[in-house]
Amino acid sequence: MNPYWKKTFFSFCALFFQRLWLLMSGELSFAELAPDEIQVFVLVFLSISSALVGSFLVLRKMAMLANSLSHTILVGIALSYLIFGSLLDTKALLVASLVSGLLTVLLTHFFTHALRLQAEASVGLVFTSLFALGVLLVTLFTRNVHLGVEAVMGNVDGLEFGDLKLAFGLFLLSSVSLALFFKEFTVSAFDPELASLLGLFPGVCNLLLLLLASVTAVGAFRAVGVLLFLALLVGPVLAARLLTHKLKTLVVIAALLGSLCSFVAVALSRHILSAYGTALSTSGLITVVIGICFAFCLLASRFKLARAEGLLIKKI
Amino acid sequence: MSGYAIEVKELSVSYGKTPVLWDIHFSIPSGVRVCIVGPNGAGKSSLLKTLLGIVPSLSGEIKLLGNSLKEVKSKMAYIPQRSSIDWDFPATVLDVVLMGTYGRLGFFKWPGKAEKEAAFAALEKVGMAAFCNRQISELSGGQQQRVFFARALVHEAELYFMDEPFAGIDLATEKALAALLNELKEEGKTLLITHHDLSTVRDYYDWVMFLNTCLIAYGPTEKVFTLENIQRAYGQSAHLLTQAKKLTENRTSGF
Amino acid sequence: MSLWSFFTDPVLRAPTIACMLMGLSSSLIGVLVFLQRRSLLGEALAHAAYPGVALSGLCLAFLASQSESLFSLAVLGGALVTVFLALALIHFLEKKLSIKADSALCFTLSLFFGLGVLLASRLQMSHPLWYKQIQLFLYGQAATMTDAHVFFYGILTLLIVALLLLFFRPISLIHFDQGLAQLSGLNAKWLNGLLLFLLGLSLVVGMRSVGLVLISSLLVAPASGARQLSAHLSTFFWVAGFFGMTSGFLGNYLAVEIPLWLHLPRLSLPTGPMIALSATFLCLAALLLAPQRGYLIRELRLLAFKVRCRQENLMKQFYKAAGPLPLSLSWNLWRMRRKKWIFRTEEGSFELTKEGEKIAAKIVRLHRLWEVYLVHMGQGSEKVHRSAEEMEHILTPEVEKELGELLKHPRRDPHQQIIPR
Repeated sequence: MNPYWKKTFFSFCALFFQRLWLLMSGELSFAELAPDEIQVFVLVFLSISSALVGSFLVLRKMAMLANSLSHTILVGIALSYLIFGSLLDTKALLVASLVSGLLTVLLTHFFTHALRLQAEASVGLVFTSLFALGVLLVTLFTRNVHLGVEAVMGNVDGLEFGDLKLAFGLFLLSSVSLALFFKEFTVSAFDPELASLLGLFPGVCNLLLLLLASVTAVGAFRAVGVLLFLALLVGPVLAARLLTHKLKTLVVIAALLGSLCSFVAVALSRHILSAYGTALSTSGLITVVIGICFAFCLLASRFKLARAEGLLIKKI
Repeated sequence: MSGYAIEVKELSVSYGKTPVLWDIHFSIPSGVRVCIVGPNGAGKSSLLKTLLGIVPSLSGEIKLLGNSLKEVKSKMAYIPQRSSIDWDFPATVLDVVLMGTYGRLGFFKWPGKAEKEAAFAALEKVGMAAFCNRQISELSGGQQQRVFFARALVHEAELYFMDEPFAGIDLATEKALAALLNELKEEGKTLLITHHDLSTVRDYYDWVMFLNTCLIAYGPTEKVFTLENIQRAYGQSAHLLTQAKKLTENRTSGF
Repeated sequence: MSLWSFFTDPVLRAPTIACMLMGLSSSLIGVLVFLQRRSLLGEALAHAAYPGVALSGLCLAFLASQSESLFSLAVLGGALVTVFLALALIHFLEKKLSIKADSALCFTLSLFFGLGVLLASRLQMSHPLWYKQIQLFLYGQAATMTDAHVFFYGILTLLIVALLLLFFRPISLIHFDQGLAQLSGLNAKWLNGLLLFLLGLSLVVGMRSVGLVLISSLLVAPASGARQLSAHLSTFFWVAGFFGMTSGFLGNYLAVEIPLWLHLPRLSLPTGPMIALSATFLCLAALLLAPQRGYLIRELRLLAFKVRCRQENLMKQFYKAAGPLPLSLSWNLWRMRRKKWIFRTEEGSFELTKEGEKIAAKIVRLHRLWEVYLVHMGQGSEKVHRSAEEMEHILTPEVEKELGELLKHPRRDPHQQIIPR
């Protein structure tokens, strides 16, 4: 019996933190986690990973490449589904993400440099054709058209404990990579030429960033679907940018905002189900909550600006 | 040891199929301020980037302070063109200057007290110490250039490569930077700087290099900065070079 | 299944023609998007249309309507509204908040799409039929289109084509010469607005057949391919339109025929992805094989150039009468004999013909002229030979003339060798 049945927003939060405390003090085991809790944990870990990777993707102006990735991983997923037969296998997911990531980068490079096509058109061509190919593969070989729809929308309610392990693994991977190589990523984003001179390998940093994005995208597709993964990647970062101009603070605030939005979305989803009897898409909710969060941050920054100007005028 | 700060032999560089530099030879002693002049597209920035190892060369030999590039990377400082930087990046003035210390820190180490003190000292020298927590997007052109100078100073380099440092800055900053360049020269450092304003070449530089895909002339300013060389670099003959380059690019791309 | 049956068979007719219309309108607008280098804008706006579709579905579901034609109209309106809201947001983010274009597009795309997902999910349990109707627009479902759809989309396509024809001159002016356009009193903003309106319209037309997720392929692929084959704006439009229509047709054709070829009659291929793949295939073919700019064609031409360099180098050897020639060059020698540049003497050796002498002299002249030029530009005379070895094959008669004038028709090169006339 789901302990969150019929809970409204605030009682959800209260119960959640109560049970979190029990979990941390050892009185509750992982096997006893409710589906809602698993959702929260998975989404929080995914949000943090996405915010970490997304910060540098946004700074490197590679957001549209991430969009490209989010479409092309369908091919990787289809292939790994065909080869390994399941989608929870970490090996399979790793293969899928690496294959699609590399394929995207190589093909886009080929179109831009060898075939001399506009950069934007190359990106557009690569991801639409690979996505179409992915849908075709999925239809031809699995007869499971739902895979295609799920890949795009995600299926939050289908999350299980295995997904939690995966999300946690992703969280570890991205936070460790970023912590270790923060300096290198920063300089590569700000001044790639200086990075090259200082021996910080900007090219490798770029590739690493893209591969991290691919892995996170593949990890995310089950929970929120590939398109909404983009919201997690870019939204919290843009909102955080409005609030701070220090890079380290930016990354932390982005991760916090992303996690907050995920939690609120799950709580809201449960609330609406309990209070109104309607089941709304949690992934859609997350995106909308991120949008509202962005609007709030915008207002806050404008307010801060107005106050600073007011103070300035007062001084004069 | 040859005693030259920079020695280049038969250097050729291409960007893809476009020839950028053809058979460049020169030797520059240490302790001079050298400016590189030439029309747009002459390859001035490319020359700097090739010497720094940022752009690969097709052929040729480069010796910096008598050694190969890899051995002396820590002794070189680079100031890129201001227009190539994204000034909306979330960074403060201090952050940017500290980046100059990342090279000697290596992987996995964070800048500590020593690095921060070096950064402050460099900012003092360029007169930007009061701005250390200011966001770089709020700086004027001259201030941005000074911050980049401070970043280069923190390197404690022997060779300084600068790309159009005097472009688009106010007069006060220009004078301050020119004085700094002189100071560096007095300390025995070698400076290689691309420059666009022919009227100030005599005042700020000891040596001048006329570059237009091929090296037209170089040497002490009094001897080399002549009307004849200026005409060779910028005149009608230069136009032929542009045409020849375009033809080469087309041919080698299969057009 | 004959080709013609796709236009006559009552089941196949509507989807095929509707897709061809959609292909036409999207590819024409794609030309404009391509010229403005905003291919990814189409992608973002396509996704932004989804909440409009979902909202229309929601409204009609709660009004308990059953009319499909009302739905199509509502979808049109809803989608256009959200597309323009998205445009406004992108503009706001880029201009007022200084957010870079790619991040602004990504953010808007995911935000609007997520909103659409949220709205659509409201209907998933309560009105599953309406939910299905909305989902159709994601991947498209050409197969269930009727003649009414064809009529409707036909009108929209006609509107797009008419507007493009009407404003062809201003459009070309705006794109190629902003200054002249302004002088002629053209209001660029107003025209831009018109183009964005047409973009929104073409997205709406295309949603039903190829789906929101893939419609941007019809915006990007036909235009990218057509660019390789056209020198004028009008040709660009014609070829892109042709590619678009062909992709629409091919998508339907392959979706029906491939299962038959594979002997899997129960397999059903989705038309949307087939259309996208056909468009990409045509684009790739153009990128590789276009007569002037195609990649493979250029590689072939490069090969031919290298062969010619080899032959010209041989001719130089003849001219300078230096050393014996290795026999492995027999193919090149045979080619040169066919071109009547050299001939075989009775003893079996080779000599230049009159024609050959002129050509060889020209190569040597270009070589030595270039050496003089480089020395003039300050190169040492011992270092100019290598560059001249390359440039002698590349310099054209016009450049040769300019060189001669600049250097005042020198008689000797830096090595004191005579420069042929």
